[in-house]
Amino acid sequence: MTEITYSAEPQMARPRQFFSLMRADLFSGSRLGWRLAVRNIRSRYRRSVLGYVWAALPILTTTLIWVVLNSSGLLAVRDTGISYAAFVLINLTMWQGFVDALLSPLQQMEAARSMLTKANFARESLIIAGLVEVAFTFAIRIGLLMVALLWFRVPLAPTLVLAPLAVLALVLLGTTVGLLLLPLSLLYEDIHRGLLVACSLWVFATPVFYPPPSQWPYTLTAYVNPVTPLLTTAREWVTTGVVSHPLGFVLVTAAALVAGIGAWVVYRLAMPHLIARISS
Amino acid sequence: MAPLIEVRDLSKRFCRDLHRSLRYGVQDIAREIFPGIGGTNVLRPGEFWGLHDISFDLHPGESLAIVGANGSGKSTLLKLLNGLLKPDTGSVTVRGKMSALIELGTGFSQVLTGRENIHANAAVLGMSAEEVAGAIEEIIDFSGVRDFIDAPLQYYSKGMAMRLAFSVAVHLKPDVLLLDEVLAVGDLAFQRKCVNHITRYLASGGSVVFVGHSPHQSQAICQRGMLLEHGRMSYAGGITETLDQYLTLLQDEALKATPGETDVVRLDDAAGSSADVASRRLVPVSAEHPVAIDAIAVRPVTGAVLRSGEEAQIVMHYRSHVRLDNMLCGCFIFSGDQWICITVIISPPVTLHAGGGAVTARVRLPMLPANYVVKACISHGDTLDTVAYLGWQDTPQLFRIAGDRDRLQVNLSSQSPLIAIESAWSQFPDSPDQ
Repeated sequence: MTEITYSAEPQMARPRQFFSLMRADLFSGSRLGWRLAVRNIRSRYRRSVLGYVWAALPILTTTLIWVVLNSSGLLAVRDTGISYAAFVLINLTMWQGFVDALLSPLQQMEAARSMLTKANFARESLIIAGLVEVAFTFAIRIGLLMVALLWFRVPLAPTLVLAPLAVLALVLLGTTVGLLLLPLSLLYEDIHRGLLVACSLWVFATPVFYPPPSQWPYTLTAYVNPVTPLLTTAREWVTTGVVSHPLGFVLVTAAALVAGIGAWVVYRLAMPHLIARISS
Repeated sequence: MAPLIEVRDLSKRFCRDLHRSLRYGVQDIAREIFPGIGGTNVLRPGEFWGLHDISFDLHPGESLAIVGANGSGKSTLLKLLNGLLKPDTGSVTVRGKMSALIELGTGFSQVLTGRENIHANAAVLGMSAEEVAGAIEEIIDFSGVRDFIDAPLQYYSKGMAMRLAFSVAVHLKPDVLLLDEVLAVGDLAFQRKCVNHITRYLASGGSVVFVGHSPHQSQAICQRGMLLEHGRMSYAGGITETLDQYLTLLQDEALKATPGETDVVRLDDAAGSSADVASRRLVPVSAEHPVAIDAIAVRPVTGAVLRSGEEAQIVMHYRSHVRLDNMLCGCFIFSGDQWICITVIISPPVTLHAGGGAVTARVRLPMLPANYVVKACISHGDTLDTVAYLGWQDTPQLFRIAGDRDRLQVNLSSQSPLIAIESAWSQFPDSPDQ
């Protein structure tokens, strides 16, 4: 018979129980997360005629705006090596994957606020459900991207097969940052609102609409912004096969992995306190 | 055998101020991550104990009702038992599988069909996909909404959605089931079905912690009770005694809250003794409202207290604007929770005197020892139009039938009997003894 004790002492005072529950919840949370994701995906576009097209339409329209701005001469973006439309489309797809992963933990929590305060289920399931949804949307966009790359006759490098690794790294980084901010975001709305503003600025500090700068101090975007090495590596693995920031890619990915595990522990430690503060 | 639930010195504090509460939340999380920074388990400014110093055990096969007024800490206790909240002092140990129904329909989506929602809700409640597949037809049958099962939930009535949610919930097979005010769903027939299902689960060895405002459901389901008052356990014992304590508490609070303490009514009977009644505002009488009932009381004929089966006197005091002939006075005796009207006593036609007076009746009360309330009305004998009420829109009068229940009565109290009737028994065999 299983036995569990909830007490006032810090959860880490019983590390064996804490980590054993963490492992068990990862397993049960994966199964529940999958089922929650299926529920969410099914219900998301049920009242829509265009359905899954909405997953890709915002990226297409943004790309169109930038292509028009560039071709009209209003913006002078230097040579990107491939068609500008394809360049923006690849970058935007990757960037949007990162942003989706970044916002996903909080969006899942907000949507499940009532569930969180009424049922004791593996909390990991919400994060996993979010990841499945991000992956699903990403897959739709990748399908569209592939059609676009063929349309623009963009030469694809053999390293294309490695691109999913870069995508995973982007999603990992986004989820880690989102998860780290989650406890504060659930308590204070400012974090979520601030994050949305930050994202709209962050995209311009990332080489999404322009090639990576080569002049100081703009080159800082490659060293200070952790998204840059991941995003450029993803694009380069798809197109040229030559990676310009391999070390950055490895360091950021490793740091995201370590921080991600830490964020998971913090998430579990914070959850009962968060529920007490958001309970109705 | 070790208890399934073991609660020791359990307390939980809350804060009334939102911003302070959020700040405390950050502090608590920081303390959780860095235990070294310390902290106290005493109340911080603006905090209060939502639950304080609770201890009890629940053994296999037992069922415990937690009763108390709104805000007394019932749901908080259930959330602590379920591990949703972290205690601020004390501990909860749970042995075996626990399921909690704190809200029905957790995880429901309005755009998904009833069938899809069964899968989602069951998943959140801890059923595996295989378990749901095996039970889904039974769940649909139990809910009684088969005709709508493939329609989106938004086309269900609220009652139908709740029936569906409850049907999923009752198919969980935990060692301990926590129920928080979730049995008041659907129509009466469905509620009876739900209670029967829970009692069958108990009979099969399950254990239940039940929070509900219906005394009947509490009695139907639970053997034990615990009364919470402002987060503290003020009574624990058999369910009947606990409900009795709770109802007395409610009535005491209702009496305290009676509006208008300006005019105190004293009841004087023919013998000149006074009865204690609620202080209430006297309703003015006029040509438009010619009659008002000032007070009603039930008192013993002999002795100091009312006893089951003994004679009692009901006294109704009225004021009348004019003399009124052919009037009927009615006394309605209700159970202490005011849910059941046990009897109605109607006077023969009487005359109400201009100015005021009293009407009395002698009765023999067959009710078992407990708290009861009495309400009154006065009607025209010809038209049966009621011209005065007492106890419906204001506080009814409480009275208590004193006495100890014998062992058998206590044992049968889970069936909530209200009256005792005289009976004469005889016995004989089917055939003469050989």
